Parts: sequence; C-alpha cells; structure tokens
Amino acid sequence: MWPPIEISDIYLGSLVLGLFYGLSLCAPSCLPHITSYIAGVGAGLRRALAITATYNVGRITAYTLVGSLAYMFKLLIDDVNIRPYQSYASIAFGLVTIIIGASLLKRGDKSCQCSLHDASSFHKNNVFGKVDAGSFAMGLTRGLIICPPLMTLLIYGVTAPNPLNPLLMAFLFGLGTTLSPIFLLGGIAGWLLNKATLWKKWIRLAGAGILLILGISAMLSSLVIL
Amino acid sequence: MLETISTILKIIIAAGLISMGILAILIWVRDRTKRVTCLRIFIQAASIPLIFLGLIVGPFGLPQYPQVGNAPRDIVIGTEIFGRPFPDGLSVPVLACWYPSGRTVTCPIWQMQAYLYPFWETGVGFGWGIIYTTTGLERLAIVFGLVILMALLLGRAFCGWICPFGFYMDLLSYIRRAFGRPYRKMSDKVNVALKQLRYVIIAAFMIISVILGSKAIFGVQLVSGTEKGGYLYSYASAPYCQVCPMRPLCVLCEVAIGAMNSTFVFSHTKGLFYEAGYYITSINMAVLVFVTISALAYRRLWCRICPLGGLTGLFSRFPPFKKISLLRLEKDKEKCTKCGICKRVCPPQIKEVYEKEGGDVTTSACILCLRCIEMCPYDDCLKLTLAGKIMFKSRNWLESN
Repeated sequence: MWPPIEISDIYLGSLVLGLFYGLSLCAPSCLPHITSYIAGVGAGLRRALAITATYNVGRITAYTLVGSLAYMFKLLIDDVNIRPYQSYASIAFGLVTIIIGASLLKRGDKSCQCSLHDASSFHKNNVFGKVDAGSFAMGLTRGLIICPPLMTLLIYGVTAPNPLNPLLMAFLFGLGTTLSPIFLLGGIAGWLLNKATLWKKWIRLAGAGILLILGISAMLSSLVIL
Repeated sequence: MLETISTILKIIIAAGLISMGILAILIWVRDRTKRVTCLRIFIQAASIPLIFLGLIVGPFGLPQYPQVGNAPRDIVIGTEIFGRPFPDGLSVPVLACWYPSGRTVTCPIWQMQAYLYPFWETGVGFGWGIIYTTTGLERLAIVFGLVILMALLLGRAFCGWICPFGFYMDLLSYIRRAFGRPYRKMSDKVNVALKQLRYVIIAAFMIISVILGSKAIFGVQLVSGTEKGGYLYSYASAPYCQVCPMRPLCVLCEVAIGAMNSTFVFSHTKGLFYEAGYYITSINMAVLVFVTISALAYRRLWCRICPLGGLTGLFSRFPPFKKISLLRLEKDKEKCTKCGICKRVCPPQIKEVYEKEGGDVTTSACILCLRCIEMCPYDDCLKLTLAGKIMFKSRNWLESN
C-alpha cells in the first residue's frame, strides 16, 4: 500500500479536492440537468461538449463569487445562516431550470419545423459562435448552492488575512471539478441523440419536459425546507 | 481433466457436424437464389445449440439455488479471460440473454448495465450471487473490448447470421410466407425513424443506467431503492432487460423444455403491469407479443430498432471504426443497372445499396444477410469482402438456373 499523500499547499489541495469531487459526487447531481439540456437544444457531440464546458464555466464563476462573498460577509459561513442561503440558492437554481425548460419547450415546436439542412447549419453556427447563455445560467445558479467540500474550504479560507485566499481556493476548487465524467456522458448522449434526426422534435420536448420537472422538484424541496 | 477432454470432444463433434451441414447445403441446394439463405438458416439454427451449449454439455457450474433445482446459472460454462474467471459468459453482440440457463455467451447490453452497479467491487454476491474476481472496470473493459473487436471483425453479420432473436424474426417471416401472404413494406420515413430510434434507446438507457447506478459509481444515491439490497438494485439493475423481448422468449422456451424450473421462474414473476419481475415482466411480455405480431407482417422488425444492433453498427460503421472494419459490402457501379432487386429483397428495407453509386455500400442498418448479393443477377456487381478478400459475390443466376 502507498503511504497517504499529504498536500501541504492549500491551493493545490483545493484543486485536488475539486478534482475528486468532480469525478465522484458532483457528476451524478449535474448529469440529469446537463443531458436534459443537451437533448432539449438538440446538440450534437461538439455542441454538447461546448455546453458542458459553458456549464462548468458558470459553476467556476459562481464558486469564485461565493468565495469573495464569503470573505466579505463572514457571517454567512455558520450553521444558522447557511440553511436559508442554501434554500434560496436552490430556489434560484430551480427557477432558472424552469425558465430554461419552458423556453426550450416553446422553442421546440418552432425550431423543429426547419429542414435537416437548416438544423445542421444552425448547429454549426452555434457550436463556438456565441456563449450558450442557458447552460451558463444553469451552471452559475447550480454553483451558488454550496456543496460540503466547498463549505469546508471556505470556512478555512475566511480565517486567512488575505482576502484573495478564499476567492482563489474556491476558483481552484471549481477548476478541479471541471474534469468530470459528465463531459464524456454528455458528449456521448449528444452524439447519439443527434443521429436520430427524425426524432429531434420529441427528443427536444422530452429534454425540456425533464428540465421543467427537475426545476419544479428543486424548488418544491427547497420551499419545504424553508 | 477428463471433463475438459470430454467437452472439447463434444465441441469438435458439433463443429464437424456443422461443417458437414454447410458442405451439404452448398452441394445440394441448386437454386442459386436460395443457397446463401439456406446456409444462413443452417448457421442460425446451429448457433442456438452453441449459444446454449451448457444445456447439452453441462453442468459445470455455479449452483446458486440447489434447493430448487435448475435455476438460471445452475448450468453455465464458465469462461476464462487471461486466466481469470469471467462467469457471465463472453460478450458477443447477439441477443443471447443472460437470464436463462446454459448460455455460453451473453448479451453485452446486460453486461454493460449490470457491471455499472458493483462498479469497483469484487467478491461474492452484489445482487446476482456470482463470484467475481475482476473489478467492475475490468469487466466493463472486457465487454467493450470484445464488442468493439467483434464489430470490427464481422460487423452486423452477427445480427444476420447468429442472433437467436434474428432467427426468430426470420421464422415468423417464413410462417407468413408458408401461408402465401406477401410481406408488407413500411414507408421509408417510418423505416428510417425506426432505425434512428436505436440511438435514442441506447442514449436513454445509458443515462438511466448511470443514474440508477450512481450509488455504486459515484457514491451518491440519486434514486431510492438503488442501494445494495434495494428493490431497484435487485430488479432494475439492467433497465433495458425489463423491456427486451428476448428475455421472456428464452426463459419460456427453457421452461417449456424443462431446462428451467417453472415454479421458481414464476415465483419470481409477480405483480401488476408496472411491477418488475426477475425473469419475465409484464412489459417484457407485452413487447414480445407486439414484436411477434408485427414481425409476421414486416420482416426483421426488431432488428430495425435493436439497440444491440445499433451498438454493433456504431462500432463498425461510424468514424473512426468505419475505416478499420474488416467486413464490407461492396458494389461495382459499372455493373449495376439499377434494376432495384437489391432494394426489394432486403429484409430491413435498406435503400443505400441501391441508391449509392458504388464502392463500400455497407450501412449501420445492414444486417449483412446477403440477400441482395444472392438475388443480384449481375456477375460481380455486389460482393462481400473480409479484409479485402472476396467471401461472396453476385452471380448471374438467371442463366445458371
């Protein structure tokens, strides 16, 4: 057996913690949302990867934001304040998911009237052409919900004299989580679903419908806690 | 030792009999429009005893429930890969269901789903009462490796020539023909939609399997009941198998011949329409009945939507696998007169062989049954090549007949 690895550098530790979290706990909680969104927009392999990347950028932004806010409002990181914060963040995430689901549901009928050629050119123009606002918003609001390892990092980080400390730690943690199996699963799902061109309308409707359900369930569960 | 020698001898005898049968067919079937079909039927029929060889040469195996007699996995030929036991049987891309007794090979779709559950674990149990000495990752690597290898070697020829469910589909077509009824043709749009549905099915079940197996894979339980010993862990660990029509067909056939204990099987098949049974579910049965009735009208209906066929197609007909796949159907555009016979006789109603100009005309939906080569009346117009070597080619059967 190898001896346990000790990581003395806190920044490297944050990155590694994010990496492990991204490879394990983080992936299944994000997978239903990401794959539903990929199905909902009718993305192929490249666009699915771009969506997953944008989602992750949204999460990193949120983590960094949470890190800087944690330093400014140190009161946030205690048991009394964190519960309502988590519930409100969860409600925001649910709300964004519902809005995205509803807009995809509305757009689904219109965009599926186009021919196959139009659909493929639509995707080509959108692969790297502009930022996918939906997946970014979803990642951003998802990242606002503070997960247990990030919470531990922030509790440690806010005690440091340097205000950049929690911010950098949260950023590196987020960066670590980007290496996640959802890249692989989202990419494969997009690649496979994109082959079923005649089912595109139904796939989009199903993806949008699932997003709506996920959003409503996230909101309801948070409201119950509140 | 003696048992091993005896098994080897039995396998050699079986292989010898099959070879003699193939030779007999090639010598005696004079109608050139039926030679390949007769050969194919013979190989399909011969594959069934080979797939369920454990019923003939066993038992060697893993008596899981000795108190109830012959139950699944009581009779199974254990496989070794690189010196390590692989007790579920080799992964071959045919619907050789995992649930009945005596199988030598297993449907890779079951393996892919089930091995996600005890992802990292080895040892006894984990839902199926089997001792694994390999980890989940190793098992998944073996399954994917074998499927990719076989798809590259023979592509969807497994569907056309070996798959027991494909044979069942063919038998239903022959029954219809025996009553002098012509086949029904699907509209092109519906046919293409069905073929594309395979990829949706694969994607959906991949996501469902990962979500249901999230406790084992990621350590986070997303759905209650998927924990070890939970209801979903035991019954829906292989979600696709809950709807697959092959499972009830295999199990019912084995119950009928006495290879499985009917009391045991039916005691595990309980509940209302929505409730899953272990061997046969109501959904399984409904799909089997629907597919059986529909296949009486349309040839190879299930093969058009089969996700296993889709997976084999993905690993043989899409980049980067397409470039290195060995088995190809090729067309000589100089010799093709666009008579359209190939399009009319194709069981899964593929148009590409007719429509494409020439060269490699194999598609992911083609089951390589070679009916087009058999019926093409132009010498060397269509040919099947394995690593560039011609295996079959079209002949002018109009003159020779």
